[in-house]
Amino acid sequence: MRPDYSEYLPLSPATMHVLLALTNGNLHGYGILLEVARQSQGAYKIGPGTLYDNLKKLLSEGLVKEASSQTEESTPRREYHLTDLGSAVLRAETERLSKVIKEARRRLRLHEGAQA
Amino acid sequence: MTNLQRRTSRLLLQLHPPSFRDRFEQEMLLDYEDLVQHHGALRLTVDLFQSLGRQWLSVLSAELWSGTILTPQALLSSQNALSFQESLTPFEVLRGFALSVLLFSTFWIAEDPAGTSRDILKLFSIITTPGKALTSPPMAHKDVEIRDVTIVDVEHGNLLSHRTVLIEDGIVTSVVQATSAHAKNGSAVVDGRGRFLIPGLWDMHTHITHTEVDFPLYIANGVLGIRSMGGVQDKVFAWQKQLKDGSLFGPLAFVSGPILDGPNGTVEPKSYGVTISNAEEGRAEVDTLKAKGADFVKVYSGLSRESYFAIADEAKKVELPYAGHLPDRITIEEASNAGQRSFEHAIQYGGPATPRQTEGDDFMAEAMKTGNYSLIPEGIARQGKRWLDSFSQKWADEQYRVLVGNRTYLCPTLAAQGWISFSDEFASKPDARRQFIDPKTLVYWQPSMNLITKYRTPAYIEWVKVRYAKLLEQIPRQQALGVQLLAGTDLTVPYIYPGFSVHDEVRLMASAGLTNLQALQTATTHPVTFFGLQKSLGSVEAGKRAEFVLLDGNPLSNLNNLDRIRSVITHGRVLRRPELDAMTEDAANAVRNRAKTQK
Repeated sequence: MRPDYSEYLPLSPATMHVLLALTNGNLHGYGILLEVARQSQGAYKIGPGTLYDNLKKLLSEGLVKEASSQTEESTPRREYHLTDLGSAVLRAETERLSKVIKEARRRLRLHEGAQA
Repeated sequence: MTNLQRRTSRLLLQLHPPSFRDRFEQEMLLDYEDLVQHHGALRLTVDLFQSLGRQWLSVLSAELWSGTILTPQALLSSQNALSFQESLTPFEVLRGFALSVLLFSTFWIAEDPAGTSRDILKLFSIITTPGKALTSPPMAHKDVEIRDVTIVDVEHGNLLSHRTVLIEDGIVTSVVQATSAHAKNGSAVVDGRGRFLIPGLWDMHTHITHTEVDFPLYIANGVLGIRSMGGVQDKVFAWQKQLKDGSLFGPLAFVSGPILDGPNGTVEPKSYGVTISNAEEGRAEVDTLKAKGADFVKVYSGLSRESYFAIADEAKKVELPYAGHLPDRITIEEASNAGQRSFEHAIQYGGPATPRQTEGDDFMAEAMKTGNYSLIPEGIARQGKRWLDSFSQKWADEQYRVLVGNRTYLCPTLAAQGWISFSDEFASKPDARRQFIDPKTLVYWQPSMNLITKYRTPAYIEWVKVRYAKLLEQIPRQQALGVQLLAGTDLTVPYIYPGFSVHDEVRLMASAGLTNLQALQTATTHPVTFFGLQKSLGSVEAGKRAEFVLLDGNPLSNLNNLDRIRSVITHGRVLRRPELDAMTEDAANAVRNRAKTQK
């Protein structure tokens, strides 16, 4: 049976982008901010306030974990890692959105057809 | 970032609930500092305000009304606008709002009432004074990996495909033939597939007037090095110091400080000039500039022979290079042999090099005496025609060989000369890039308003076009004989745009007859060798500084690809297209805001 992730859904756009940014590997906060801007070609940018609010929730829900430090030196920048749960939630949300988009496409096409 | 912005962001963070602060404050501060240049202080401040509201609301809901407002598992609540659970009634929302305001203000007053209100006042002054301080140095990426890119070897014209470049602390550690490499975890990864990596471009003749506009535009256009050929010296030395200590983000800059000219000199604006009346003053000024930290001395048209040779001699003694105009009273051979490192603008080779070198035609003095300034363009045209009639390619070639022997570079500033030659045509052509120039300056771009073109006569208009054609004709000849050409824009001249015009200058070099590779070298390898930096800059190789531009197309096949910048790698940091766009937008905003305050 497929596990149910519906308690986590829907994701806010910011949450979705943060999770998506972490799919490529671990990133620190600033890296996430840049990656979010890059993924949307600069159309969607979030600031640190929005980011860490999201990270706080994602950490407490176990969707994101703090990555163990790779470097010797101590730095205030921590890296974040997408957990299996986080990845599954992102997948579930993507599926849900796909259905929405499919429906929207279908409707819009009908609408266009009606206009023609 | 200004102190004020830093303090405001700190203050806003301090107002967050302690549990949140302990966990995230340091990271948020660092990110804020990195982002402020690109997102603008206003947007980030609003973001921090929202975060403040959200964190207190979540604390309130968790501790006081556990679960009624914003239950923690609702991830949807973490967006800019607050989203509420279905069960929430307007009354509850109101209650939450009232409580948060209460708590908010209590916290404020308890913290530091006087200081807070002062900071809040200042905060509003930031919000209402836009376009300020976009100049903070962004935090460097420690490691960068550029994957599967085609490196353009600008020295030899080779294309090295499927290379992966690893960068650590701004230095290239390795270049391997692979589609990826074992970069350290946390490296910034740049996708190089289908893209072309070139060393950063240079503008070898510029005048910086507004660092908050000029520097971001230079960087956004991939121009990572500049030679400042004169300005208000205190300002120039001040921003040079800031660039060096990292408090200002911009290109690598070599500066002259002021411009040394003779009495009754023609340096415009006057504040850029220092008048040198004799040899002693010349020597003393060179020593002063050396002490002030000038990278070189700029000489100008009106220096007397005595002053010029004294400056040349003193500069050699204190090991300060000198460059600039070919003075009116000095010949090309004399200046090159004396050690002048470069000649700027259009010089008349193969004949009398400057109007003053023509005997018995002192139209300048006549114009000043009579106030009929049209005598000057008339005289220039008349003298120029005489030069052209007696032009000797053999003489010109001999002069080029002298330049090659002395390693004297030429910086012909073709784009700027193009404006002088086609001022009326330029004026009638719209250009979106004018948004980067403030309206007050644009007035002087009109031919009828600019001193250089104001008194133009039909004979002059005809002459400058002939001269421009001759200047372009000589470019491939100079290249063929081994003269080192430099791309310089002479920013502050009409129709020259910060950064953008370097691409134009390179293309003009090519349209004059250089190959695309040779044209590209005038803005990459030649500037680097001019400054003797070939060990650390000018190519994509292990051990060199990572000052690179990633292009979406091959510049060797089409120089228009210089405009297609995907990323800029500079100061150990990757600036991607969104960030470059933001920098460009910030520059345009800074111009607009300056225009507003001028009204």
